[in-house]
Amino acid sequence: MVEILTSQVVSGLATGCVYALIALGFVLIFKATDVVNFAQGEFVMVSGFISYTLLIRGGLPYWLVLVLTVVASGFVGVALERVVVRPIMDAPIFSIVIATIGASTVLRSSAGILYGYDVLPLPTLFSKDPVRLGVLTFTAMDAGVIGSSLAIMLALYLFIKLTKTGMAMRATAQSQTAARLMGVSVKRIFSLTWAISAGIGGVAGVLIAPIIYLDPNLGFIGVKAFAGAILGGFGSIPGAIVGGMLLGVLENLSGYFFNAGIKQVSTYILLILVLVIRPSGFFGAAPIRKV
Amino acid sequence: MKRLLGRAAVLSVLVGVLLLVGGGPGWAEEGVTDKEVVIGAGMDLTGAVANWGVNIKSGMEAVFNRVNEAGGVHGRKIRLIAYDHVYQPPKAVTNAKRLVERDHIFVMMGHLGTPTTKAIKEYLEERKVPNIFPSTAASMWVTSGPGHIGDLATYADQTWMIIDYLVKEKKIKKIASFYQDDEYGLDGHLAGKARLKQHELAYVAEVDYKRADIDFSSQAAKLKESGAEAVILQAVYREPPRLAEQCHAIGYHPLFIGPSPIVVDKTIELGGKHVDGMMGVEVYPLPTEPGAFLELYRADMKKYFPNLALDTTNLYGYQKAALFVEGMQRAGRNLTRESLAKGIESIKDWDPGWGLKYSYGGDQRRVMSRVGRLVVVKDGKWTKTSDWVELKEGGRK
Amino acid sequence: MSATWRARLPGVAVLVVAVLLLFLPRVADNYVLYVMTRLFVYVLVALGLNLLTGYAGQVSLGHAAFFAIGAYTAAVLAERWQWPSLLCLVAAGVFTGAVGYLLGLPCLRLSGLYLAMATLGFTLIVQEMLLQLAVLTHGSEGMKVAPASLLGLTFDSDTRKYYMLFAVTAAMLLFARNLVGGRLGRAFLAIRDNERAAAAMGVNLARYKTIAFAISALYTGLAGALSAFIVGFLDPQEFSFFLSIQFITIIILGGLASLLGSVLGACFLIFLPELLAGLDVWQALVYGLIMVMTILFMPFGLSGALRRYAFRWFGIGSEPMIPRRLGH
Repeated sequence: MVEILTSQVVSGLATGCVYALIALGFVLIFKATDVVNFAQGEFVMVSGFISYTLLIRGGLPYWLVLVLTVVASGFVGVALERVVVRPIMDAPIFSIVIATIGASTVLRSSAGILYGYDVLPLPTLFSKDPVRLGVLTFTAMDAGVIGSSLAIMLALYLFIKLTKTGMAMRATAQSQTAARLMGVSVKRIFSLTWAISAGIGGVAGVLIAPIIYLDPNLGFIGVKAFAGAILGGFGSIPGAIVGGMLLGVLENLSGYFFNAGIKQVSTYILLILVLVIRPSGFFGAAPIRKV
Repeated sequence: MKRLLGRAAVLSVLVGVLLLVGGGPGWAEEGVTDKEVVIGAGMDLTGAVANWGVNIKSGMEAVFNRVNEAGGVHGRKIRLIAYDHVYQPPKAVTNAKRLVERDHIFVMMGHLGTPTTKAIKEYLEERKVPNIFPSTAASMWVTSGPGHIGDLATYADQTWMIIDYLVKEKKIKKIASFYQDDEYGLDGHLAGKARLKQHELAYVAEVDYKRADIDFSSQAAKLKESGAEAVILQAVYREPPRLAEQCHAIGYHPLFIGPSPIVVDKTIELGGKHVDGMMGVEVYPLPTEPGAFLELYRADMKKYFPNLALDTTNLYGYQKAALFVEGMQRAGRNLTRESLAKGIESIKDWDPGWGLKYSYGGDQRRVMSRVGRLVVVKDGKWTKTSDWVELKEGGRK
Repeated sequence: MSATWRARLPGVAVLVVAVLLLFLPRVADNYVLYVMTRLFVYVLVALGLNLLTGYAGQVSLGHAAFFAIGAYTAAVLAERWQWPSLLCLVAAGVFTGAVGYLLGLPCLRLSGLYLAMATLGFTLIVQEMLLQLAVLTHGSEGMKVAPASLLGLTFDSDTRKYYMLFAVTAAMLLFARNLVGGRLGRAFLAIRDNERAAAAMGVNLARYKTIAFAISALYTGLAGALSAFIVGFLDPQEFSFFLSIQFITIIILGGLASLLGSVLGACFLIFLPELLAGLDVWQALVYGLIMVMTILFMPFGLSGALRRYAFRWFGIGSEPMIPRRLGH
């Protein structure tokens, strides 16, 4: 049934775009600071709650909520970086990772205390009604998610490639020392990276919370995005994006052809295969091993 | 400053060890003193079914608070100790041990979750702690002997009712099952399979999902392909709305119907127009219906938990606790585990004030009520669509 | 303090603790014993994981899978083929070790993040297989495990379980101590610090990495098997990615490449929730805060901090070496 297949692919792409955004957040921070931020998923969750508060309890118009949420998420990211990461920047990487794990627990339980662990629906700008276009069946929601995600990714790409700050970010990612020598304030770049990363997580949250309902445990979606990032190649931005999208589509297709269990696991089987055959992922460059 | 905090952290770990060693040697106490009865509950307060856990606990506490304010049962106040197991069996085991060994509970009451309660079943039996009215309607609690007793009709019973309704009244033969892939979902799913066989039918599709799954587009696709006219949902409150939404997105509109866990306002809140026409089985009245008992419920909830919305979830905990209190009343002042059991078993045709009667179902079927009725989502509310029916005993064979 | 005292103090401290633990069942109630027994299980896991990740530098998020394999192997052997408990334990450990070895092979080429993801994938695949092989494992219904028994003595009481685990953990701890103090330990550290240099010095990378995986898996599998006999119930949902993260948290908070760290980390993970149990919804928040604070003030783990203070205040031991940045 071509129709069903295509609808699966499209909805898979939609979820995949969200994974891609989160994966992007992971990779940005990783490239700049070598840190794997386990609280990335929680940025998504926090933004979901912020938008919920502004929209439902504050009654603000949707577009305003969107902007405010992304900005607020950015602040959360910076706050996290300052409080939890910067003090131990020189410590072993593992310790920083644990710090982010602890931070994710704090964020999650705070949300739980403030909002309860109940599941909350979030209204969305896009309708969930089906739309037919030839053999394609999808919802306006799917299209909206894909469209917004691509727009954000494009914006980010342009920012990094064309602006001065973007260049500073790239320089820092390549070599902190060299960047410093060139007058780049590495500390500010770090904060900025975390802010952008959290902001992107914020966008992801606004896009996905209406689909999968909001609750403090929403952050666990970060694990999947993480896998997607690895699949595509953790060191590269396009890799993370493609990996995330591929993940979304693959999940849907394998869920369709097999059962729920295989669906979950198919990604990881693929992942292991990819890692064994090509350790840096589909797009990653082979890491230069310093002796 | 760093030094101090570092020292403090180390010290607190040591203190923790010492504190733990605190208790005396184990006693065989029953949790009953002159003034007080201690009962325990394992709940999910922060995990996948937190909505049920938080509400059940509140419902129970509402009853106990009222009873305690009036002086308790036979002069004893009821103290409920609940720990959070996050719907994870190993935590449930640890919490159960803590409740039994440390807190010396009299009985385990309303323990939430099928896999979680299953994990502690043997332990409770071994320590002779009664498992009273667990918050899970899996059939095993009804047929596991004197250590366990359920309160309401099981998922198996309810699924039998669903199937009979679909086949006999709606004349639907193409029935599919959407079920949670664990002990909870399997109970109803397998019972349904057995009942279908008795009607000389079989599921046209059996589609499962994992606890905490959020995307069902592939399940929706499979269901559509099977051509099922009705889909039985062995799920809770998150999955039905999402499944319905995704089915509708691919142009598939079957009749959705499921047992009591889906009959919650949350389902409607999440699903919006997609759950219009969804049907369910409920085994006790809706919180908004008239009647003396429900008036009392509404008053108690308002008094003790004004911020909690009235919902089938807290009513579930409430009725459970009320039943327990009745059992305690009948047990008399000399309260032991045996006298409580006898007290509960003596309940026959007892109506707390809402038209339904509780009756002990006998040693082969340790449950207090077998009624159920169908409800449907109409105009954004669960509305009754049949009268109370005495459910047949559903089984998996 | 005189020099000999300082040198002897750690050893004496261990002895004192051991004696205290030996007499614990006389003064403590069953619940405390149960908590301590769980602690021992986690100490075993931490030892195993630390050998691989702390000493040999191979990040692993796969230890929940090894734990599961050990648990189910023992459970299935006991249930289906009625093997005696001791044999089940040994078989569980050996089998898991073999699986660890096999997993080590494809992982030879991976490091850091990629290794972490591959091992994470392993955890998820094993978890799914537990469900698919329901014929053996009872799948999502969960599996009951009868208490262990040896020569007619059944380990069904909390006291007996406590002693069983105490004995095994003590033995494995001593074994680990010998391991890290010897050739294997040095090879692991060499690999962790700089693979190429180690190889240039004649350390056979492939051999030692896979051995590290095997031993690590053996410890964790054994811990899983013991846990099965202690708790009495297995559910595939337990053996998740989050369990692997918990294990990693233990060794990082406790201290990488440190036996003491493995013990302290396990203490942190087991005792802290117990202390916070009465806090209801606030429990997770306080726990998270304490975790963050601990790592901020003790980035080298509890053992690192302990060692540092023991040296600075009392002159015991030596300033702990700062391990290099791991992972990439």
